[in-house]
Amino acid sequence: MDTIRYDAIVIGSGISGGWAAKELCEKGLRTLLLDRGRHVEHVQDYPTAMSNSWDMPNRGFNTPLYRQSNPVQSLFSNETDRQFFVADDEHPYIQETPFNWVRGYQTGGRSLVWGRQCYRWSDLDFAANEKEGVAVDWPIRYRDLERWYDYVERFIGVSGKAEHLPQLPDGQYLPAMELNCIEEHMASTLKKRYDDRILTIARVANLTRGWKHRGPCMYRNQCSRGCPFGGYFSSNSATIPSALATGNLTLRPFSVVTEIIYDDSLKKATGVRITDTVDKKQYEYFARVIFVNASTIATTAILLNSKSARFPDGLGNDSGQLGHNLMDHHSSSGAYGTHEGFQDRYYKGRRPCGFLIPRFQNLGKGSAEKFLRGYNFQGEGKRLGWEDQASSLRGFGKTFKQQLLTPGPWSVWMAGWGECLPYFNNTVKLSIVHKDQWDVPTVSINFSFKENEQMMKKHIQTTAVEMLENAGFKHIEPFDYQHPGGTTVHEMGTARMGRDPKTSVLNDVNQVHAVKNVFVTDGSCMTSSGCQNPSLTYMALTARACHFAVTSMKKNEL
Amino acid sequence: MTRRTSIKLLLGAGIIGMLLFWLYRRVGYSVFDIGYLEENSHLIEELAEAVIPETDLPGAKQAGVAAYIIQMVGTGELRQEQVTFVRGLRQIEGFSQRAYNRAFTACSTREKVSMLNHFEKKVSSRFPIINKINRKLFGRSFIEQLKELTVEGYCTSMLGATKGLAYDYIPGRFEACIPLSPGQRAWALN
Repeated sequence: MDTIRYDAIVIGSGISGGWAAKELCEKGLRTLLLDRGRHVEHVQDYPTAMSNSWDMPNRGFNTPLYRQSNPVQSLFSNETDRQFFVADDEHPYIQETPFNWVRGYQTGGRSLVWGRQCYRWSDLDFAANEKEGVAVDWPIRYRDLERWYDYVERFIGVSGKAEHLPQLPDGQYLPAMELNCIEEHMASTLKKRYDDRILTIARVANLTRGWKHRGPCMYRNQCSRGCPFGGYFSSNSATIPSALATGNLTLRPFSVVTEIIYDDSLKKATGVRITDTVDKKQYEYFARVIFVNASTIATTAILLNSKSARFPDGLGNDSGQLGHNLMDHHSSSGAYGTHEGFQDRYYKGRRPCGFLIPRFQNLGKGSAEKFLRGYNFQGEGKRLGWEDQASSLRGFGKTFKQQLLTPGPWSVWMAGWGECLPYFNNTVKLSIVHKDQWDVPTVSINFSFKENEQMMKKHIQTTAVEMLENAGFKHIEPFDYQHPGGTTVHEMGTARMGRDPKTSVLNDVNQVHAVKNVFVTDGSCMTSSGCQNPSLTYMALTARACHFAVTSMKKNEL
Repeated sequence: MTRRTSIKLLLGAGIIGMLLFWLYRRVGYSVFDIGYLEENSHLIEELAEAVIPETDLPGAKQAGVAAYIIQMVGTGELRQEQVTFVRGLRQIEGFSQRAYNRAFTACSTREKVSMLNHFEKKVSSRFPIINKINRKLFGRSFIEQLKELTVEGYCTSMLGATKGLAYDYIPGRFEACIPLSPGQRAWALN
């Protein structure tokens, strides 16, 4: 390290940290980007990207033995992509209640393996807390974020279709991918039978044409291995290369941030202390502004561990809200059915996304549901393949083989992605006794879905079954997987934004209320959870906060 | 004996019986031996071929499925399922001797398929919930293991994926709704 002083430090290089690094570097700040994991270089560090199943020792599967020793990691990954997910035993955390904490410790973080869904929030979401008297009000509204959504979408490249819905604003879209026959059939059924809902193609950060020297998507649907074609947006393929191109970026992997250093006399943060995971030594780096983008739970853990005389309970924790109000969407319940029609139709190529039925409950018109907020449906139509039929087809020999290798009936699977309210008692804490291998207190999580979410899950099953029935499906089965929190991998909250320093951690531009040179722009800043996949909003909030930070620095206000 | 005590006794005996049975299924019999799998590779090969035989498309034997099964059972499965598999091999061999008076591998295709059908009928209940509970408590049965491993092994092998299924390495584009061509096979997963 030839210098230890920078203009800015960004902690974490995932989807929001990558954006912070890009924005700050492009605005001329000498920026240090830290990540606790190893370096993953776009394309060259995607070892399984072009592998066929037979090239891999276990054909891409998790063996039962592997699943037993890595119960969380193996729920979300397999032999094709597990290099981007941490192994359970190497990075323990405490589950006071069952919670799946999925992590990707490497340059690019989980942006390598995200679901790529990009949905804007609307004022239905931003105003909900205030309207219902839940938690605290968001300090921003859609108008504050709209241009930043535009800005982010134009860079990352989102394919999708404009639908002119007030609850799900349209964005800057590349040509949409197409629905297949059964999905078109569902869409036209909904159009005929309902006046409150539509079915549209997912809006995804997969490129339907070349974009900023990336893509287009090759329709392999193997995104989570890393894409050698740059067919989808990740920090590795897009923001980090842009930041590096400015000459202002120093990327430092293998750097576990143990705390943010606060200076009591200057009344601001001066830098960070890290442990280098290779030489095991501690280092300190200093900067004028610090962006914390370590991902929801990790960010809050860093703040909680940053104790000083001024902040004995964690940096910026005057309100006592730090570590509280953890949220995750529930996506456990829905329905599945098969259809006897369209036997003479098929598709070619593996589309890397499904469909969306945008939220249609509690929109302010018509009757209100028993639960607050709402959900959207995400799902997929396909003809059953061998992987679906292996355990349901009876018999052996020639007939069995013939059935197995022939496209099966059309099917639709869909589940409700539902909003989770912010509950004070859903928490992230630091263990008092347990420490990890870097001598940092272990994270302890206590989370449960409550009555509002349970009511919504029942409603999801009923409406899903009804829609499938109306579309002529057979063998319809409602389901509730009862996955614990964390399973949707949309952790949000624990360092919420708000208007009042007494009840929130961050202000309307993501500054820590009491430490103005520290910004938090990952999922921890969320005041409520909406039902939209949240990454697009993190990116927009990040770009907006970076703009504010640099403007303030130029005015010498930071 | 009062009615109440006899009910209690019956219940108690039932619970103890279930516990013993569970223990027996879990640990109480033959010790697993990976060498046994390798010694029986010919039997495993013939079993897999009976599940997916060679037709105008390659069968399990050509696709090397036996090696996959031996590897997965031998190194990837939990002990309980390993033991179930080894025990299943012995059972099917014994059944073949009793029913046809010869080794499974020496039987005709029709006989082999009829034996597998017999085993499948034996473990599958009309009630899906019973199947689910069985699977949860005791893991997959031998015949389920054999069938699922054969299908997996075949459909993810080079021959199975490229010749048995329709294989599309880099599709390049997505055609959402196209006519099904005659003889069209399902897409391989890659």
